[in-house]
Amino acid sequence: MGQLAWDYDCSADYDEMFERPGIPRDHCRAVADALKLMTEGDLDEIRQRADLSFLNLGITFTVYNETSGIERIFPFDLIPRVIAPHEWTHVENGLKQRVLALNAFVQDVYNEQRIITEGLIPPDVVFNSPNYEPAVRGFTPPAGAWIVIAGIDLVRDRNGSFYVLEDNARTPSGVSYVLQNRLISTRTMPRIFEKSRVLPVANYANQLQQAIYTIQGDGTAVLLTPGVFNSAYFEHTFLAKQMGVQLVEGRDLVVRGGQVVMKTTRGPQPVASMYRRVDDEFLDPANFNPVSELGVAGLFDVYRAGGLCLVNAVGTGIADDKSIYPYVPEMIRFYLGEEAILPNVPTFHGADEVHREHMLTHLDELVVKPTNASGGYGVVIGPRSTAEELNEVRLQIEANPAGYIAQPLVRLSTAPTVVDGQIVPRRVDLRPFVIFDGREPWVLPGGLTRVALKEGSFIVNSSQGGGSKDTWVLDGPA
Amino acid sequence: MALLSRVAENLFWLGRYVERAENTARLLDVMYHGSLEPTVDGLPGARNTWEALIQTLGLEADFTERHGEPTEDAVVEYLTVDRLNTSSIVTALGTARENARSVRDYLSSETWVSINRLYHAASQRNIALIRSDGLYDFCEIVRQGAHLFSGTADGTSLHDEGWHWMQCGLLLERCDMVTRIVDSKYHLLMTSEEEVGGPYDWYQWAALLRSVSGYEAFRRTNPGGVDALAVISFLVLDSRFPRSFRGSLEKMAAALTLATDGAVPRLRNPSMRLVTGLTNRLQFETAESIVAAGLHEYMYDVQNTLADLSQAVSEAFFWSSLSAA
Repeated sequence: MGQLAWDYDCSADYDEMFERPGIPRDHCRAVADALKLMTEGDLDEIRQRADLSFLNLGITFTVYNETSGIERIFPFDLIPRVIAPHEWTHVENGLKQRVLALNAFVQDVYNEQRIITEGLIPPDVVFNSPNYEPAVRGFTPPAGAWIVIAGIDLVRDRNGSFYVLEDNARTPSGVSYVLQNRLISTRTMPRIFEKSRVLPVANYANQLQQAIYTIQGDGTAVLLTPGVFNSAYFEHTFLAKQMGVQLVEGRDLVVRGGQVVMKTTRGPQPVASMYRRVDDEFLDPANFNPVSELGVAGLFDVYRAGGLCLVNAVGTGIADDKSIYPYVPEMIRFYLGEEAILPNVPTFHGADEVHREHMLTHLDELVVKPTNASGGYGVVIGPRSTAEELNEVRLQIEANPAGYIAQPLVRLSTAPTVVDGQIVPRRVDLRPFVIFDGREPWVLPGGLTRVALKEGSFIVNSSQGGGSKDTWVLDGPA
Repeated sequence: MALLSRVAENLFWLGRYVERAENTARLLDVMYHGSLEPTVDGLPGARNTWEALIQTLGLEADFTERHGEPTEDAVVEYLTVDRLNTSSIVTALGTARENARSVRDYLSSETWVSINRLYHAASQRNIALIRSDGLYDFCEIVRQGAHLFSGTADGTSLHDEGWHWMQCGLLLERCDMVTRIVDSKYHLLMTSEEEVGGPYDWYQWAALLRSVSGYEAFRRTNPGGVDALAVISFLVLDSRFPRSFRGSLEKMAAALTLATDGAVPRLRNPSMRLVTGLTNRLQFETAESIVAAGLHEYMYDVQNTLADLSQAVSEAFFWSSLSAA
């Protein structure tokens, strides 16, 4: 009987579970020991149990063609990614600090603009960004809470240090997979889970609902979805059920007498707060994109007059703009008087002449990203590109320097992952979720570990063939 | 929590369209098998049965414009798989499925699966296959699938407001269809008073009963024989028979009462007034009084009232015009 984990060849980069081949890290011992006892047959059986659970729970995403929809299971890897208590305390403190600073930054750039007048961020970077929303100038949302939900993407380098790769301060998705992955791993490996004393994640929806009530007080809360054809629709229905709020679409709402109301069979019902999964641009055809059918005409006027709480607030896109990202450590210093606990990945900005020079001469070593895209689209990995591809990027950067940033390639940490019945190293990142009620940030213990299932791949996005793992933050003294 | 109007409306139309597909399949099946019997064409006043079917379903304008003569081939294709006909069986099931899809989180998963399966089973058949196998198989798939749908929905759904709206839609469609079926006799025998009581007359009344699965039930309650007054009395007034007009109307009134329970009078009264008008009027009718007043006129009146009712519900509860709600 082959013992799978003994054969595991952890790569030259940092491995989440093994210090070196055959020697697990202290906090991973319980899981690694359990893995050692497993055969290919055992893994297969667990795999089948997990797939069946996903299918029965309807945790699928839909791929549409012309006549019918095909439902696929979101790839889930059985082996959890385990984080030690002291590692997590560090991450948690870093995330809270970062969200507080980002929220203060959004408040500032739409109001006093101190960080700009004091010369810490060039005005062009803020005001020329397509994510700066002039319509909320001079506005403060209820409780000053702009970024109520943030998803901050973290990676670990060869030494195991955590870095922030990017911020998501608009409508970060993926939390439903965190909750479902947990459900599945407690069903498929209940004994290891119990022994490991893992911090719970199940109260996420409750925390979010509490935050919304803290911000806005009583009144009906709803979740606004773009509708059944959105790829994250499953997450929207899941969260609405978990939070116990009504799932609505734009056409279910209308503005009446200075309020946003739901159209119900008993007449109009006022809405006080809205967790919206619709982007700013599509929220209100009368104020923003006029062709949007996802929004509600006049919603923004109600919002500005204080008659509605939006989560997240309108305009938070400026906080996760990739050209703002290099300035976050500066923001933390400026607003909180602290040094950043979680460092940025060193970043070269196309708008800066010195940086641009460095970018253009080191293209083959850098990862180039467009500043206004997400989901891994448009990313060019220098060390893995042909001369032709690099030339193409060079031309694009020269044509629109401010549209690009570049970072050195981080050798993402690996984690043991089941591929074709074998346990092999695959690269991972981590998207933790932070909820902020205007007073105190709360961090969901763990988050979504995304894994690049293709050998050698650095891109973990689900739209680019990534999968996910359950993330176990162990309880214990930090 | 009040129900979203969009959800209520989708459920209402889900019920209506499944029922419409089933009824069309029933009518088509009976007509088709009637047409296989030794021909009675040439009898005075006997008109083309396919033409009469199109008239019964109220589709003559659309059909004539696109197909001209109501031949058997044209009518069968038009009512089964024609996607340009919004009332064909496949289109009706497709619309039902789209309505179900957009309220999928509201439906029990079994209910969704049953409508999804029914749609796929019907839409996979093409007209060549339907013609070569005969219509029976196709109609049987639709009938059985529709029964499975309503049984599954009944047995697995929470019977809350949304459920009542789906019942309203289904029963309103059933009321409408039974009045059309009774009225179809009028389209078949417009000018042949001398044929009343003849073999052709008998055959047609029996076919009507079969189209609502009512022939056996009718024989049990009317051992005397198949004649116009007995059949009208059975199909319109006998509430023991679930597809009779009275049976369907009473259940629809009950479903509407539950669906609109607690709504303010401004929203509730227009539709309740209409449905109560229908039940009150029916209370004092006999087959004789209906025939004396004119069967066709009576049925025509009822159909118009049902259309008004659908409109009233839509305005008050589904926000079809903003001024109403």
